[in-house]
Amino acid sequence: VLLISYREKKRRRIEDLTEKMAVDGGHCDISCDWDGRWNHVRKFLERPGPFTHPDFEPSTECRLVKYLLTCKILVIGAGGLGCELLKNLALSGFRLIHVVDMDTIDVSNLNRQFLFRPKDVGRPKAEVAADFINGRIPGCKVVPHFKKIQDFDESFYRQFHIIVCGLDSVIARRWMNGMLISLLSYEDGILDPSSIIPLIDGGTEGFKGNARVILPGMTACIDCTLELYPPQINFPMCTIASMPRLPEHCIEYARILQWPKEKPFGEISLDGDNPEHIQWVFDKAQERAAEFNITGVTYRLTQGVVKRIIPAVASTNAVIAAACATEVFKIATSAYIPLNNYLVFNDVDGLYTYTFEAERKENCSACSQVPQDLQFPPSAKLQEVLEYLTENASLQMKSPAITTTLEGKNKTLYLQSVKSIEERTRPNLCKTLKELGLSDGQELAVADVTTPQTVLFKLNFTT
Amino acid sequence: MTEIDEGFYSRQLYVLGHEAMHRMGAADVLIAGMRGLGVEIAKNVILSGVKSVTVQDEGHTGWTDLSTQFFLNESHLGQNRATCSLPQLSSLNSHVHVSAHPGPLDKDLLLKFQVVVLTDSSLDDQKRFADTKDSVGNQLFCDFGKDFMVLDQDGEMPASAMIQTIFKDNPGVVICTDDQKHGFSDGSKVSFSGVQGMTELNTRGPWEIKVRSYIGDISGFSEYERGGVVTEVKQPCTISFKPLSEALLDQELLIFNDFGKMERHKTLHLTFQALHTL
Repeated sequence: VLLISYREKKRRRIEDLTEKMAVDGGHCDISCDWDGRWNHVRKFLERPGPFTHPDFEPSTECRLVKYLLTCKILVIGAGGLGCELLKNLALSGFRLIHVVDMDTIDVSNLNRQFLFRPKDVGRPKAEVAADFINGRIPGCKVVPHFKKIQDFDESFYRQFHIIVCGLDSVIARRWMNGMLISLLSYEDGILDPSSIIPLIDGGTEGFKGNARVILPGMTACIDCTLELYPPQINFPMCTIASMPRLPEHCIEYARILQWPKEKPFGEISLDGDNPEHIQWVFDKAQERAAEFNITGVTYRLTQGVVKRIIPAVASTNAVIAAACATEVFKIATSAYIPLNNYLVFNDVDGLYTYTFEAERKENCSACSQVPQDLQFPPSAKLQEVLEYLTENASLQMKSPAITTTLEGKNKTLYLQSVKSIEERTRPNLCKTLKELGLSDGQELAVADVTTPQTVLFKLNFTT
Repeated sequence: MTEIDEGFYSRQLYVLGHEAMHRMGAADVLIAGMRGLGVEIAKNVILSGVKSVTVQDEGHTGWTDLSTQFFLNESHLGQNRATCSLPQLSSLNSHVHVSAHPGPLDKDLLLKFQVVVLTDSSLDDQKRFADTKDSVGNQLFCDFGKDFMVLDQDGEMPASAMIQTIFKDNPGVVICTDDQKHGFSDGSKVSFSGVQGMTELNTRGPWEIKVRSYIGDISGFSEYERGGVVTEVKQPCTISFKPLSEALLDQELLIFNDFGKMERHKTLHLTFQALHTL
């Protein structure tokens, strides 16, 4: 059954591609361009050079430029990286660009996201960015989607040749990564290369950034290198409660311990966008800091800690977006060897870059095809399995939902996201695996926000 | 000093801090050459929030400019590149005064700015202006002048320690609480805060110290009671930069960073110079 579905999938993919080419034919007209419009691009494509791809054959027939113009690109995120990416891609000759962003424009975006002006505040980022580019670059058609990436399914993502991410969330990156992996088709265990959609991923924080090229199923994916992401900074509770040393400890004390206890605004949770809330936390943190002779608690730091704000400057975004756009150009034209495969950048002290080859993880839960094992004794409680799924460095799930098949029926062991089901399944957390009726070799299906697909785990009982 | 617009700059403030932002807010910057490269630099400098940016270019917009210069369009053909880029550039940040200079570059113009960025200039021009100017950045060359002051050499938080007691003496002796290393060394400068009793310490200084910590004559001060923190005061140092015309001839300055390609940096260095003779 599986094999037939793969074949079916592959056939559909080929049909899609053929259909797309027919549609693209309409856009292929470059006769309307002014003389010399693409000279800057043609210099790369129409003459040989010492650094071109070994298989690259320069061509002067505009064939390569045409390929550039018909290549369909998806840009995820229209923020700091997204604005730069759209500009770079459009000026490089890409014309069929879609952009997805779920956010509207905020005042704090304006000092980096140069396609937005004060009058645009409150409007969807994707739409304003697309309008700006389309108005500036004749013939370029950016299609905006004011949506979440999770609102689209396989058929949407499959239409693109290359996908570029400029995101500020690891969860969204992992979801996108998982989506592209789910589009891969294998025949007799062999990956069908036509099912690969390259993913270029950029990220920045302050003066630091990274750019990477992922060929799903072939090179290291986001989940293969999950350990590289710094864990969310959470200070140990005992430090916050009794031995604060840093201004951050004082802010966390006010946020985690004092807020729920004192309920200064009644039964509402702390809102990082509410200045009164931040002021309250700031005042409390200052009192605490004074008590322990700690300096450095400011309103701005308070807001930063509460909202977990990611610091950002325009120039770092420009550097990383340029690197990503260059990779799109290299892959689209096959004229140059792509980045292999992970570039780090830091200009906080001089200017440092380094490129290394991130390696695939043999048993990556996202891209490896290897069944995932869970090793637990029958006496372990379901709670322990849940903690393993969230705390293991290479899984780092957020709110895993665990289901299995018992006596031929689907059974939800634990599910957090729906309140009524959470209440009903919560007692299971304290039960042992044996008490739940699970047996050695049992398959557990785990769904999580970090992936569009459920991950299958095989439960191996240890003694 | 003008207030920083915290809403507009919030994300950047987390990176740079208030002091650096205030310093940037006092800088006048000249960016010469308004082709694809120059306009990108201008865009990022304007977004980051300096006092003023002047964009200079004598040339007129041609068709080829439209391929790489994002703020020029067809209606600008035949007109000055700097003047045509101005409306878009100045709309990026209302806190920055942006102006265009369609005339030639000369020494008098350069002297009005704290930072000058040359793009699209001949090597002769680069050398000529580099010799007259304290502060020139171009391509991959930075000359911050003969006396460039570095206020904070390592960017670390200043070391600080809590005080256990202070002996009123000449020189005065400060005893820090034992539970941590204080991280000071001979010649470090420090300031005091929160000291009770001997409050003169809180308002004067910085004090140069020796470890164990003598801080100079304080025998006339009040009696120390309790409390207080001693904090390192960062000392500026001065670095001297060579101008471009000298640096070009100095092989020692060419630091290579790839041991597999020992000669490549020299080749690149000469290649860039050769490009200017074409």
